[in-house]
Amino acid sequence: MNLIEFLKPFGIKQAPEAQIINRSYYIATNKQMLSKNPIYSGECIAHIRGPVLIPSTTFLQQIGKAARRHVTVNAKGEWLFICGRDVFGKAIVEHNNPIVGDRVVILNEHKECLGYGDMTATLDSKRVVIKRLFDIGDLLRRERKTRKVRV
Amino acid sequence: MDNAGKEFFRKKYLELGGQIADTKPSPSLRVNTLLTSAKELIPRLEKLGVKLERIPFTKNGYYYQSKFSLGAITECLLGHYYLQEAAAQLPVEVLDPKPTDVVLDCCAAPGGKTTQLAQQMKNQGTIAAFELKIHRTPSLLMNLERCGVTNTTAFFENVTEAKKLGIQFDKILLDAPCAGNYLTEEGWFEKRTQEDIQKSSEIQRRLLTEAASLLKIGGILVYSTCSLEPEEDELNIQWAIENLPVKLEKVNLPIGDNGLTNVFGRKLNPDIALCKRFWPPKTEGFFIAKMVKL
Repeated sequence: MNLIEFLKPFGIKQAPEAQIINRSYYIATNKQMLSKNPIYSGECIAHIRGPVLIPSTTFLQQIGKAARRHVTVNAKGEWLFICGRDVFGKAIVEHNNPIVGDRVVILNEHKECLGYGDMTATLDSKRVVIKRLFDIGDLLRRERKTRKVRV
Repeated sequence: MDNAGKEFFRKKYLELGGQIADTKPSPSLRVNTLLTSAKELIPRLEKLGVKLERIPFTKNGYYYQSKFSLGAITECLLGHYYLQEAAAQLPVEVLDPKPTDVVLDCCAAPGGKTTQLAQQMKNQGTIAAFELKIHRTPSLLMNLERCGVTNTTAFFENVTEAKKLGIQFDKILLDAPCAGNYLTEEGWFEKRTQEDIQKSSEIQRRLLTEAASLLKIGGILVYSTCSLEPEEDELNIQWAIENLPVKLEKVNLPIGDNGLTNVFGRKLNPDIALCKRFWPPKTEGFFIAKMVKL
């Protein structure tokens, strides 16, 4: 999957020009450094994880602003979501009419993007309405996983 | 053992004019002004029930008291702050990098000081960050990403490889790997021996030599450790000014004691008093030296 394919479900047509370093996409401008095999350079955009991409926290905020469909969740929904849970209809306090099948970004009440998921049921449903695909808590889970591997 | 254990270190510190503190310093954080401001962040955290108090001797630091971990909430995950001990925020402030500088961070992981360098440089200029230990690089990369750092290039290599970049750096931060101190690790007194400290000191001297060779003439090198052992602090600096083309400059901070100039009866260069030594419990144990290349 490349960046254009990754952004398409969000309704975003333009992708930044980025290059792959160490299985991640970066907007890297320091050519002198790039020739010496760095592991991080410039602005981190996304990471290649198997067949999919996961966005950096900074790029996620850009996606949050540009995405076609979004919902805003309350504080409890926010906490559950960043812990890796799906979104229930009752946690949604604001939205712009996403429909089942849409890729939706999840915002908190400060309008910060917490992640995204796919709509699986109508908003008035009492069950899970957005199946989580990615949330910012992934950052910590990634770190813990690395520690575990090391042990 | 006569070269380890709490009693051994208690006597050692007493001879240096310090003592073992019973209390720990309050935990602290640094507001990441690359992504937010204290004006925005502090009320948000206070609304969550976190008690904050400005650290008077840092630019962006706050002591905090919280009933829950501040390491996993939204504001942390979005990089609005970095959990960083008060004294650990000082080496970068002493180095004082500018947005036009080319800076080397010698032992970068987990990235607290690298992200602080980027913050102080307003994400401009250039930072080259080196980290040798593979198990520490994921946390470095995650913190750079989380804090929105864009002016840094990181390498998984020993800093001795920095010469391949062909750069003479304006400023270098050498926050050296060290034996640590009893406040940073459970059971520290039982785990460390005088031999460990000596080995650590040898590595630090090699790193100092490397850092001095990568610095441009007139450039600034800040050396810091979170160790209270003079073998890793004042004695290394004495060795540096005797063997490397550097001279000491005053560490201008309103906190901390002057560097020791008499260690176990050995008289050191009086300029070492320009360094700063931090005895707990006001902060954790710490040492900072500032050098300029001749």
